[in-house]
Amino acid sequence: MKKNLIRISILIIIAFIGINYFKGNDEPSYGLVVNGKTIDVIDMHLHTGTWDALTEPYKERYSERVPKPFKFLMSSLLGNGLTSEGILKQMDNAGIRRAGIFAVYSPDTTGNASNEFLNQQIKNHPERMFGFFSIRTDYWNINKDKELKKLENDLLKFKSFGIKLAHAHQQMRLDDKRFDGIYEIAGRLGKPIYIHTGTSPNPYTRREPPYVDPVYLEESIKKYPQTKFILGHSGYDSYNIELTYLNSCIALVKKYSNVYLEPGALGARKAEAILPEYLSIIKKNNLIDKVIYGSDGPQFPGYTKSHLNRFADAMQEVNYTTEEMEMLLGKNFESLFDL
Amino acid sequence: MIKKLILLLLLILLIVFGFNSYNDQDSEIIKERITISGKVALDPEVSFKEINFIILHAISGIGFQEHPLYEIESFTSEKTTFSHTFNYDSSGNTGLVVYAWIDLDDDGILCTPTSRIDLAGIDVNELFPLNNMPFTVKINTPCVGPDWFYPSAP
Repeated sequence: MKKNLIRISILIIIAFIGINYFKGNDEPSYGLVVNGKTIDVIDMHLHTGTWDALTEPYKERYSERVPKPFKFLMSSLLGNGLTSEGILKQMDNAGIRRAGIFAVYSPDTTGNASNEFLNQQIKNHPERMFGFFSIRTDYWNINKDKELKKLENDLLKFKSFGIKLAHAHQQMRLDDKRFDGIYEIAGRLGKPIYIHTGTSPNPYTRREPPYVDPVYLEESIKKYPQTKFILGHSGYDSYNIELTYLNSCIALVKKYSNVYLEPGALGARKAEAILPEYLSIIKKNNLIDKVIYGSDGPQFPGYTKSHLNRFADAMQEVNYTTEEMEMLLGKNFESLFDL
Repeated sequence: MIKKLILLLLLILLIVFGFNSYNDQDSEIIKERITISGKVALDPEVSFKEINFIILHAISGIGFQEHPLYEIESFTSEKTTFSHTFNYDSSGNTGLVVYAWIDLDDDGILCTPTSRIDLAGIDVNELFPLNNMPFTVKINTPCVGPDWFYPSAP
């Protein structure tokens, strides 16, 4: 009883602080000003979801970020941050007008955010939120046909932008040809497919090369030339904070015109030391027109903005021109998705 | 200025309240020590240094979070027979899968795009832990993960 009263007091104080903090905010201004030019940024990689649909180990990992006494607040804080309202607030805060929002089916690792839930969150904001829908693969031998049919229907009825897959989270080998049907649908419907590559620090995510090194995907990339593959995180080895699988990504993107890269999480604080190296490698290999900006947010309040700022600072540090920044941060997405 | 001071004071109060009020005990997961045993069936001509095992819950989770193949832990054996003791959490979990693979090209990875000779296999006991029969894992399929075998098509 006493504990609940104190918790309610804490919530009231937080609400009061929050209201005072956000009260009177002006209309958000969009874009990133670089050398006097305003760049329109598209973050192609944001997540929606609910606290209840996260797995217990993932909830624990998330809760490590706050002191023990405040853990009971995580459900409402994180839950609200993943709804359309919370995501839009993060985007506004970062000056980002448009973003890709992902559904996920990762019951082993982070949890589920279903296609239906994603659609519910984004349907009223078609000019700002672009849906990337996913497919459940954990009963594949039993219901492959049913799931493929559902994916195809969802892609059409929800006016999707693309598909999201995360082999390491979904425990699928990248060289497992049983999943080729997904790539076939992506190509036939003209929906680019975002594929998580590289490792993740999340519990129970597979870290062996067949699940994280995109070189294992080469046969499928070759088999479906009409399918546009976006190699998420550019092979960033987030577990070891190294660019372990970037070489594989570079080789594939140079060899196949249907391959693109996304740098999600490389703008996070823990990747600060390797971000300039990543951007230099991209520039040196003349691949700036093949990289589509994403952050893997919203994660926690302020992440979407800090990821973008760190990214922009690093681009300037390694001498990206304003035009090159504009391409990577927005125009490449517009070209790929015909906006 | 006054507004900032009020906010600061409220924050301090929040932190003091929070730390003083906290008396939750971390929930404790009760796990049971269980030993499984079994053997690996292999082509007699196959030679190997060790066999890599992963044990997984056949089904884990409740309701909409239910899913197959939740990893428990891994171990190795230098022989074709094995016995392994581990902490088993029965809540929300049923059945046990033993997945095994052999690194025939000795590169530490279950197949690369250019070397496709490593072999894998599984055995499933869907009645575990009610029944803890010995496992027999047939290792004869190249380059596949546990989801290749389980859940299997009806």
